[in-house]
Amino acid sequence: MHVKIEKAAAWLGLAMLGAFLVMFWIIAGVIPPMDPSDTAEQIAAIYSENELRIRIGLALMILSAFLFAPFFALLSRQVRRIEGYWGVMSLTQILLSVTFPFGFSLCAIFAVTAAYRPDRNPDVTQALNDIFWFIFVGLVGPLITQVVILTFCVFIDRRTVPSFPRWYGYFNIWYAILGVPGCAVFLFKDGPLAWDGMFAFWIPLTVFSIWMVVTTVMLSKAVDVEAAERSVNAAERIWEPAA
Amino acid sequence: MNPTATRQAAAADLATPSATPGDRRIPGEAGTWIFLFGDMLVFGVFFATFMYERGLAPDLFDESRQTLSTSIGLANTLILLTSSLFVVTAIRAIRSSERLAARWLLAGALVCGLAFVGLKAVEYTAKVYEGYTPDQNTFYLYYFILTGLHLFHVLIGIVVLVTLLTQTRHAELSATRMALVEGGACFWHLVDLLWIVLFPLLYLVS
Repeated sequence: MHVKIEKAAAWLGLAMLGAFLVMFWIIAGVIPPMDPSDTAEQIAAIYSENELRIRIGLALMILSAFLFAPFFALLSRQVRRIEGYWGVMSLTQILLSVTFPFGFSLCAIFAVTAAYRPDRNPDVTQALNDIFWFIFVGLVGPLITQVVILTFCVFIDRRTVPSFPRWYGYFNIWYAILGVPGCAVFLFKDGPLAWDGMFAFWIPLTVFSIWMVVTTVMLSKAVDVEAAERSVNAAERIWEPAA
Repeated sequence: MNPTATRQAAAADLATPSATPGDRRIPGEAGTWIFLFGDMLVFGVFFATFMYERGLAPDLFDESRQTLSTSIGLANTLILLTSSLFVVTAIRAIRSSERLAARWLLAGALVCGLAFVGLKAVEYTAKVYEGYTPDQNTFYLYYFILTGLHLFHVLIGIVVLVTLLTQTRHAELSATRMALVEGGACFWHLVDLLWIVLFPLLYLVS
């Protein structure tokens, strides 16, 4: 039963990636992103033309963003297993996992607010829209930190059968480096580092999606490793020390 | 074979230096190359984006290109090539347990890395002082972003080189450590390689 629940948590991550893409891309239509150099009137027009789409798509995200939590709970547990006790790495992993669903739901609340009263002063809509993009694309620190911790864990795992293969550690470095340019959206209104740009938006979105898929599979495998370890320990009557 | 034995066998395999040409092996851990090729792939996308933008405004790009200081760019190219040579010889020294030589060679590579950063700072300051900023036109936007991303890699590379330097304290490196050292060296070569593509792309191609 434990194994089934944990596997479900792993695959929930992949399901939420799919749900996110459907809600933001297909329903709300905020991907591909609007141009940050648009005038307030143009932004307001986008919101009033797509009012209902945006509100429905993002309301779904506000509701469901918290389903990312079990996925990150499992990730934190696996870090805890490598660390051996509830140490700094696993606790930081939990603390930052708490922020993850807010990255999606908080940004969505701003966009929904922008779309809620389409007849208001366009300047206000533009400001709300800016906040939406700044949180959605620009808030990269928490996840990058989580990935860096995960990288570290993969490399220090010295058990005979490690939870994650070592290449997964290098894969995480790759993601951590390519996720960083998103933080530059505050400085640009135009070009590849603006929030609709190749380097700040499209590449981070692609590598995030790849990371979610790979991490889902890796976590599912780590659950198998843990189950095998438990059954060996049970057979040899070794009890896991309390955390 | 039980997992321990498999691991030891794999470790022994890693530890063997590439002595004979027939006995080829990948430097570093195989996993390192997931990162290295992944990074190269994305830089490939960056370069392609630049070429696409250049195709849209060839005259503007060529005019702006001529304002760049080729001598600083060339100096940085030579500096990075030299640092790569230092790293290669340092790895050789580590393999043959010449710790002192390895330490000096890595220090040399580190100095080159810092010199690169210093020259970049001079170059950026001069450009901004002359009034060329990322807001000015698409070429300068890409110039600052592409060289900035590369500079970010150089800074990570400097941290990697310092890590390699700490490894020269050990008389003998375990197979895992040796693989990490080789992986770090490969990363520095990647930083060099990216600049070798970036330099002609930004400074030379007309």
